[in-house]
Amino acid sequence: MELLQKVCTYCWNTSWLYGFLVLLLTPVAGIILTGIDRKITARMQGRIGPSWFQPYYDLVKLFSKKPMALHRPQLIYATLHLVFMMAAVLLLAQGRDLLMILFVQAFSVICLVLGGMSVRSPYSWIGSQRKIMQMLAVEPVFLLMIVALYLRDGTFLGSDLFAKGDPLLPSMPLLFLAFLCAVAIEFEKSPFDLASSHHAHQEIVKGVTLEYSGPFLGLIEIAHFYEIAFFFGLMMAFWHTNIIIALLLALGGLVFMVVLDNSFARLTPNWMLKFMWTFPLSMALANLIWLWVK
Amino acid sequence: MNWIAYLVPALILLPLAGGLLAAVLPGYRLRNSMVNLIALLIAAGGVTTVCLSAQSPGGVWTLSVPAWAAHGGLILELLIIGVILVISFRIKNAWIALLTFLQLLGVAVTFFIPGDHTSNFELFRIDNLSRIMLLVSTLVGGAILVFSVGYMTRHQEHAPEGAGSLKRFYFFFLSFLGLMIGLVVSNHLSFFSFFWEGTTLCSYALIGQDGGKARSENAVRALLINSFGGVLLVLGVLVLKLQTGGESFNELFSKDHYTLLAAIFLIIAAFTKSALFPFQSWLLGAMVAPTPVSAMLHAATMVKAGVYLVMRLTPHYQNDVRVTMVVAFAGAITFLGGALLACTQSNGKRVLAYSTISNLGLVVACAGINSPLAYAAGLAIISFHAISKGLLFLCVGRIEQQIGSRDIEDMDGLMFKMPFTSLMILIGMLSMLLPPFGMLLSKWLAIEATIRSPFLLLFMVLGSALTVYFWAKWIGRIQHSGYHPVVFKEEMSVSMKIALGILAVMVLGTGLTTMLILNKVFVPMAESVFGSRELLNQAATFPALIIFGAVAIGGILHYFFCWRTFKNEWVRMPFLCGENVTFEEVRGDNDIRSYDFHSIGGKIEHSHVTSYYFRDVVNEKLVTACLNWGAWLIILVLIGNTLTQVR
Repeated sequence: MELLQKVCTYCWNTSWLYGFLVLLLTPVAGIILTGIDRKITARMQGRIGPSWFQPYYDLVKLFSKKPMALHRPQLIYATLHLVFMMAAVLLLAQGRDLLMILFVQAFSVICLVLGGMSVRSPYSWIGSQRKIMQMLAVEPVFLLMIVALYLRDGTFLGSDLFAKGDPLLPSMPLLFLAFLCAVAIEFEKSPFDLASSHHAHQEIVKGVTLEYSGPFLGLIEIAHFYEIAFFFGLMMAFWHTNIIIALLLALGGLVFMVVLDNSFARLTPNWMLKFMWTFPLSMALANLIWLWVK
Repeated sequence: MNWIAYLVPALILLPLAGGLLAAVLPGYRLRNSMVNLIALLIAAGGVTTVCLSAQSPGGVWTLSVPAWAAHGGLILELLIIGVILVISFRIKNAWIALLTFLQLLGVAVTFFIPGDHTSNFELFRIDNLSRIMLLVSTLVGGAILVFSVGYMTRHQEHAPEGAGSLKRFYFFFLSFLGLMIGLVVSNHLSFFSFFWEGTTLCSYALIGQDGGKARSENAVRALLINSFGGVLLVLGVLVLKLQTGGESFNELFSKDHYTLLAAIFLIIAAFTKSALFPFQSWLLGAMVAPTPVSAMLHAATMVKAGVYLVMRLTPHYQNDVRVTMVVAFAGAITFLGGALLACTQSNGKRVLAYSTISNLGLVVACAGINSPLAYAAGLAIISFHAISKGLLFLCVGRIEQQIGSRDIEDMDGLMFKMPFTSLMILIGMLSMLLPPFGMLLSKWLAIEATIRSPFLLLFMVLGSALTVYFWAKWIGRIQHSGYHPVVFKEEMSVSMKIALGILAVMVLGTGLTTMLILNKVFVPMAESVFGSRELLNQAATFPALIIFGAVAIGGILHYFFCWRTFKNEWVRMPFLCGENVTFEEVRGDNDIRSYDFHSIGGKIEHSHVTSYYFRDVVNEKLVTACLNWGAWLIILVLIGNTLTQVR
């Protein structure tokens, strides 16, 4: 036990090892979270559902498939998507400037969009158009959230934020709700699953990633695992003082999204934009002003 | 020996003399070599001036001249206003005549106001801000000059009926650059006004270069709006002299209510020059000019003169929150409005124009936010934007010359048709949104500096989200294409290639060292203006290296496992529910694209997907009207606020 503690302390303090472990373990967390998601979805639909580690088996299978592509630039963007997502996760783990971290994450999504647009495929093109609409919808909420954090604690650095004593949720409840909506969009959950839906209810299924297959789709899947863990981590940050409450909070958020996913019909991109720029955005702004006045 | 005292006037006079020479030199070959030479000399001279002046005590270099020299400025100013007056009679435009006459009157009244006409005054003054502007004007301007040699030769072959000659073009084009250099180094307001009016005149002449009704209308509009700004400038100087008896920037900073009023007039004049809402229409109209002119207007000269003036003035009123906040709002509404309207445009040049307007708004907002961090962000945006926008404009010009259209939808699949230009334009556009390149970092600083006002912040946040939208759409369209083997060859003139290459290297160079430049150049400058380090420490800590490292490792792995192993048999046609055309059909017929499909009986149907431009939601005219209305209100508040203080 003592040895384990020693090893942990060593890893925590050795920056390259810490970074390496973060990059190694984050997708594992992403895989388990996706597994939970699929299990709950299956139970809601009256199925038993796949194994908890099914996303991992799927991934292995993707990498064993024959590579297929439409042209070279498409593949470059898949790599860039993964690289920038990993950079965002690493920066978050290091407790860097949160606003910049979100910009890096956003650029990762832009890479995915550009990859989808680079190929001459109508479905992929439509999916990509919708993906940037989604970005347009979520970016303001994210930015306002980070600024609200600054108004509350006087810092943009993730590390300073975690050093503070009291949890965020009591002073930022409205922002948390707005953030949940934004994360539902990033996770492609119904009714926001416009760009890359898992469900048949969308007229375009897997739009933006449609023209990727085999190992290249595998890269995007890995990036998606990183992304899920990234936002799960941000949800946990709303109660950073206690790891159990944080986990419960984030899991609650995830379950809420899965329930949402299975109970909504599809809606149009314009509706999504109007919705996000009215309700969640005004909630975020109200919360921001509240912190500002205080 | 003080070299720099000769260098600065030489830097101003060289392009002016070059312009005169270009107007008389026979033959295009001689003229082209002269333009190239001048571009080189200006760039070298600009860098030398910046280096030399930085070594002066306190980092500020000044040149004092005897009092009688002020008359020189006055005569020049009267002369140029006179020329504009003559033009207004020739084009029979009563409004411009009226405005110019008012300017003339203002200048005359200013002359007769008793003031200090005996002691020496500072003619030139080069401080940090001037140095940034000098670098921008000389380096980016120089590259645009080089580009124009190749571009204009070809442009002239296909020039429309009634287009002006190349002699006329280069006369105004070179003078434009010289006047801009003069503008950023002058400290005396009558000289400043002369250079200011001079750029107005040059922009009028250059916008109308190609002749024709639409072009001359747009040129007249530019002249009209900028004359309005000119009146405000003259009025500001008049108020200043009435109060202090002096006519230089130094007097402007003696803080009382009348000099504040004078400064407000100058700031609104700057709004007209920088095409902020509600004055943006002239810059959009200016797109009819040949591309080097647009690039010059947007990147190196003209619009940068306005933000330069605002950046120069606002830090001195940092204690007056009512004024600075209003200026910040005027900028922020332009930032959001420009970004929103850019999303609705499919004309590439108009997208660029709106994006320029939007970024200028951001600079003004940064100047108004009144914190060292925002000021540093403003300086950074001016410089990084100039390089990227210069590159983008030149690329669009080149593309337009090649494909005969400036519509974004027509740029479909350029990646394989024009690989070099596409790569250049990709570098330019990605530099607008790639972390940690300059533009994104400055936007980041700007947002972090806006925390004091949630409402201002909302403008910033929405504007920044919209910016990503229109760039991503455009990049996607350029790459949108079927499979082609990679051939990196493109026919284009050497001067164009060199100019694009230089600008791209500048974009990449400044992009890779952005954090360094921010911390070593812009942040100390902001500090020296504000004398505090509020928030600045935090900005300095962002590890850009992590991102570069990640991209480098990813790039190497990608090269070995993907690029090198790429085989032609991997290539597939896109998914079209199995109704695709075949590879053979695509290869056999140029009209068939890889996403066309078979309908009944094997007939090939063409398909096309366009981008989404919010046409059903955003009506450009209506939105522009609303924004103009809002912006006028802000300007009225700005004036009213100051007037009440005067009383």
